[in-house]
Amino acid sequence: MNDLYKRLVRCFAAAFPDVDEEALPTLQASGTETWDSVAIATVFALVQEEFGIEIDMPEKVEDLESFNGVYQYIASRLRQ
Amino acid sequence: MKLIEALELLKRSAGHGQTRLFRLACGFTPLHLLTFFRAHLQLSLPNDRIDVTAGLYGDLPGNLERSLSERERGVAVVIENADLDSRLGIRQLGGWEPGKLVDIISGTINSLRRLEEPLVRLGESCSVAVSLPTLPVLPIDFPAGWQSGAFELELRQLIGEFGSCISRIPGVRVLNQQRIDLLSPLLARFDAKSELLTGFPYRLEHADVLANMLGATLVARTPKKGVITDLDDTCWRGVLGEVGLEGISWDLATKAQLHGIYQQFLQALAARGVLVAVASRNDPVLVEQAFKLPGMCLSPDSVFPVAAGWGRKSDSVASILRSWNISADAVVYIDDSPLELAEVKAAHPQIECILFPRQDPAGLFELLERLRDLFGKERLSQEDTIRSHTLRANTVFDMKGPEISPTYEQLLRDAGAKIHFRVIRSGRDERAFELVNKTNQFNLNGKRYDEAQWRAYFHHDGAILLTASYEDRFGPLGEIAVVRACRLAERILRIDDWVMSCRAFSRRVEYQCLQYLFHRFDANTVVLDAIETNRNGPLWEFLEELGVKRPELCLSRQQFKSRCPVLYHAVTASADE
Repeated sequence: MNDLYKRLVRCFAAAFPDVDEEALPTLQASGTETWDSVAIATVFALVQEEFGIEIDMPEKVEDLESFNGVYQYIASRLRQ
Repeated sequence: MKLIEALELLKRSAGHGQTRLFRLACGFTPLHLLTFFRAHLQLSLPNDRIDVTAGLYGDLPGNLERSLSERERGVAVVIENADLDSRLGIRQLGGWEPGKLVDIISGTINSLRRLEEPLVRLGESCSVAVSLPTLPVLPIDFPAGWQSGAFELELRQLIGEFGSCISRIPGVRVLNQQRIDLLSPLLARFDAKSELLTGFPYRLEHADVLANMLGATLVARTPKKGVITDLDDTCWRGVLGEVGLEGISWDLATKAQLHGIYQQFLQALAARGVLVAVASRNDPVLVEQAFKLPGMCLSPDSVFPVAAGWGRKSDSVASILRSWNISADAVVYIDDSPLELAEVKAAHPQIECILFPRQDPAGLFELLERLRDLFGKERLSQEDTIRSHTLRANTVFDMKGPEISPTYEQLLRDAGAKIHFRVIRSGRDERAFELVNKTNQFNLNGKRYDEAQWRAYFHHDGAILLTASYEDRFGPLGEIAVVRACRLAERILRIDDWVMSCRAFSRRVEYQCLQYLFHRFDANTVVLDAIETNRNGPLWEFLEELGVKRPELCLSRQQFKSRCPVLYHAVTASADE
């Protein structure tokens, strides 16, 4: 498990306190009741705070509707 | 605090203790400000479960009105420029032409008026903390940015006048703009992107600063009561025992102004009712002479006691605490020597020990800010201004052991003591509220209340607040006893709270309180909601003297009469019905 992954799990655990930690890496907007506009804004703020990355909005929002999507986005931004 | 820390704190704390309900009233999307606000409240109230409700977007006056119908413990009101006129924000396009600026000012005046009335009503029922606009005014005035335009100046003036006006409303407190400026640079406050996308205008760091200050303002913290200071290289520059009276200094001419500023600050604290004492390794005679030197900013009348000698500082501190009759956790000790601080801290771990920053002007101002926070009070009372005087007078009464001796009896008889009782059915008396929340020793049950809890008690039929003010030939003590009681049955009175300042001990004020209650309410029996705490030994000693037994905790009028000593007070009374 890499560092980015662990740090992102921590962010998601904070933004989705009612979701089991094991389930976080497979979390998706569809089917997650608490994945609402407040949760999205919280995840984005946490990512900015943790990784220093401002997520471009709204162009990329469709790609960011799952844990994996956010992970891929951060990984690509960190490679730039 | 970082956002992730706030969220994790809230996750850990969920579901514990009693629920405390607060409200965050703002016109923007509360988002992360709400998270930070809950987290800071949770830190201040670690045993409780914090619940914060927010209102509707874009409707600050409506959110305030809705707060009136709820039973919150506290309401945080966060005003931003866009709440005063939407054209002062960026989410609405209402036009910024010079001709419209006058209209924006008119809109601002109307908005501020609409906010004032609900704040008055809110202040009557709960604690209210108000943050005035903190975001930069948009560049819509026509002069260049380095010049203030009339529009901007007028806007600031209106907001300043509004802040000054609402700060006088009982129960309403306004956040300190200067402290916000110190903690949150102006350029690092506004998040335009977030404002456009989500309606939340703050950067995380600024939201954290505001939430912290709102929480601190709403959750009452007990101010410290006393400061014990060293003298050499603290109140003045130089070691008195080495350089003599001529060698010590505290002014600009001798490059020792820091010490003069510190003295001046201590003098101001003393005038506000903070106890100031000296613990110094020095010749007591020299110290007395030093305090009489011309230009000394700290008056000897403001310092009591002065513990100067050659023993350990911790022993001096112990004797000062005994004189003051307050606990170590209510005291700050200041010394320029880390060694002395460590020695005092080891002996009195609850004392807050602070190093005096010799030759460090910036450090001195940090110290003054810290002292302001530690001793800060909502309002000053008459009792604050006479506290030091009272302590000196108390040494006359400090004859606890021989209370039954003829000498003591004579002292009481000749003291010319007067007690004035006030019955206040509304319960509105700031000093009474303060006394109940800070008194430990003569305290019926140690219960503490926030403003909403305190006021709710008086909504019950038959609930009364009784206060007692005392004075004798040694001077006034001010309001020194408070009773909250209600009638249980026709001739049965239940006392729910009863506190008496330790300054009034040994004067039989507590007996006079009971006598007055029996008489005024024509009661045959008084039931006491007494609970033993770690610190209310004096109260229990008094109950034992009266023969009050557990678990009934009842006192009949007959029993009281048979055990009450002679009372010499001249009693007067008034009622605020």
